[in-house]
Amino acid sequence: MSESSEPLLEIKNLKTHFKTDEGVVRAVDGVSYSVRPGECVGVVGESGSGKSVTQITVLGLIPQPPGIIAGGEILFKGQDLLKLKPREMRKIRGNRISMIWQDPMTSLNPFLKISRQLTEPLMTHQGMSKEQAREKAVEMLAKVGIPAARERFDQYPHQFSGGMRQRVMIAMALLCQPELLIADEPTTALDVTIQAQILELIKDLREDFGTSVIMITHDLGVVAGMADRIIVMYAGRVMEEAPSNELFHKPSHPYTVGLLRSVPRLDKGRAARLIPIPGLPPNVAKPLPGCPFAARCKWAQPKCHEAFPEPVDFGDGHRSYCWRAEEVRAADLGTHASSEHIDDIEARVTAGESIELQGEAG
Amino acid sequence: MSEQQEPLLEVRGLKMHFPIYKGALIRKEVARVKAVDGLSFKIHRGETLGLVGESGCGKSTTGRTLLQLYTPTAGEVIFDGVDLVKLDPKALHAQRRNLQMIFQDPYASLNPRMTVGDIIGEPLKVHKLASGTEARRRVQELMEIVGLDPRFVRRYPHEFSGGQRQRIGIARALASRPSFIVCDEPISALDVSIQAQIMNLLEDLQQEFGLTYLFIAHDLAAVRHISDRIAVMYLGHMVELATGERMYEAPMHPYTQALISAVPIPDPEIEATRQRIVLEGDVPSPINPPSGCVFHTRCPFAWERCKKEMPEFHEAEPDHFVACHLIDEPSRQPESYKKIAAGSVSGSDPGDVSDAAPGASGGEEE
Repeated sequence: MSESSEPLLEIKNLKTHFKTDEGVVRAVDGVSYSVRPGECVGVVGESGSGKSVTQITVLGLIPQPPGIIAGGEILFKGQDLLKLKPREMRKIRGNRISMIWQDPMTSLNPFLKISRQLTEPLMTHQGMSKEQAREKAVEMLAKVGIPAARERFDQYPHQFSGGMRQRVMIAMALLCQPELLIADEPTTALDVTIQAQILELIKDLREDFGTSVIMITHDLGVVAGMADRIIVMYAGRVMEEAPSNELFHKPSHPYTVGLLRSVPRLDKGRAARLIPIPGLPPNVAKPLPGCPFAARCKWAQPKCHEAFPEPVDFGDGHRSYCWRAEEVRAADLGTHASSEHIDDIEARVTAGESIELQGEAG
Repeated sequence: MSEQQEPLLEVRGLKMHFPIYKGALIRKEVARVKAVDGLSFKIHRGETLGLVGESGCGKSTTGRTLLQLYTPTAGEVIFDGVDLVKLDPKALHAQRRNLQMIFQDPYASLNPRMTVGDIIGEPLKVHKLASGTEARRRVQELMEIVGLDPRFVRRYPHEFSGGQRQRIGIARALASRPSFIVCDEPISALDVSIQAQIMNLLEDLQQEFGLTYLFIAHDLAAVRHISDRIAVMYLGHMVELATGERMYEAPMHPYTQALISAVPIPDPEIEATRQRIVLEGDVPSPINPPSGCVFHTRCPFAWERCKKEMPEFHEAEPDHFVACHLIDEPSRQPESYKKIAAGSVSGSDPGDVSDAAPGASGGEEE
């Protein structure tokens, strides 16, 4: 997983906009990141951050109109997916790139037996006969942990529980042994004990098949245990990207710090007071010239409202899109930081002080 | 929160069963959903009791039944010395101003045709607490308390964001100056950065007005953050009740142990060392719950007795209640269970880590 290995997927300056009555919504506004073979990348953000729209664009599923791909490239093994004809894209979607959606209740067709839904991709993409496809599908169902897979094969989706339906979805996504699996909030609709089962399953399958995974979620806990690298998105832009450990321990963007501080942790008791991010996410239909987070950011300076910053590169794939990234990093506001330390830093920042850069801190 | 003080609310043997009918002409009860099946617990004055469990465990039904939004099938709900179940409608109506609720969905729980002022002012009208200028002044005050701009008093709910709507719901709940509020998943429909705002608001209000909360949520981390004590429910039963500290450090029920181990912690270092107890299968149907202990079908430690005999919910250690046969049969407790129940496997206990990797003990940070 070194920087040098050729990326499997490379998103370059992608812009996905939507025309609405209220103006052009810039759902994705210049997003760049890449996924290497075998890697699990977590994409974290709140609703409206563009984390899902980016991946729906990758899959070529943005309806146009109202959608407009206003710019950028999506290179899958060097091939620009945005330049493919729909017919060519269909050969990739569900075959080499597949997706697990958030809601297993609505993303399976309620009128079709799961056998039909599971054999279809094998017959379409891999030209298997019905019998071959059935064999392969039953085998996959068993692999994702559906008890009595053969007996349940001809049942309808409503006969499965939520967790089991999500397993069916995962089996469907993995049937053609895709090189890339996009999981959009795969466990959000599930209970925690079922979430644990599904996350373990995705981990195991990653090991077995070497599939790259993009895990889209709002839950920092889920990516902490799963992802090799994490991308933090806000209002259609990437704010920070870093290897997991780095992101949690050396966050270098005020928004990342805000996210880490506003989430209650099971291992911390009542004492650790949450520090919410003030204000509301911006209206992406009325974009401002500068950094979209500036209006809620304690670190914001006049130039933050004027121009979006170039990334600051800390090496090892750690980039922060913040004018004051070095200072934020030096302030040491990771998960180990004490509340007093954060209060102190925040007071100094609010007073307009700049945080001095120390040498390489351990 | 001393034990000597009389609790604000005491629940004894509470049951809430929903009948299922069949037949168009002759309606016949064919089965019952045992949503809540025999709960007994207390809520002390000024505390927050967290109620957690997975979907369908009966936690929301419990909250609603406490407030008499459902008429319980059996049991007593003693609020401030009065059994709410036995009250006639008029007396219950009078009590209602002391018991309020904050709902999960800020989109569905506010009337879209009423202005914010009317929504927040309604309890004042219903309970005849204020009218005219006095009511308007009180509504403004409430809006300020929850962090809403009083100038928006004539706006409609759709003009507000999710977090702001939840503030409207909170202001409405506060209007009648209640002493007890049931918060039913008040943050789960909100974005992460907004959740913290609402949690902090709830904590501030509790301090300021001496409120007592029943905080119902499926998010164990949020519940741990806000609660003094935590109760865990499974399939209509309470399986464990203890302080947040105890519950995290030394859970005694196998279900609680699995539940806690399943919650991801946003720190990759801690995640890498945690042992996950993955439960097999799904929650059984509350229409036909398993015999004996309702958890026995998924419990990794269950034996014959668990299938036949329902364990009693009792105080196993001071202020730590649990319903499990393992407690009184220590010889049956597997090593892995004992370790967790004794509190030696919580999070990142440095002592435990050095046990596993003796060479690493020199490199301790902090």
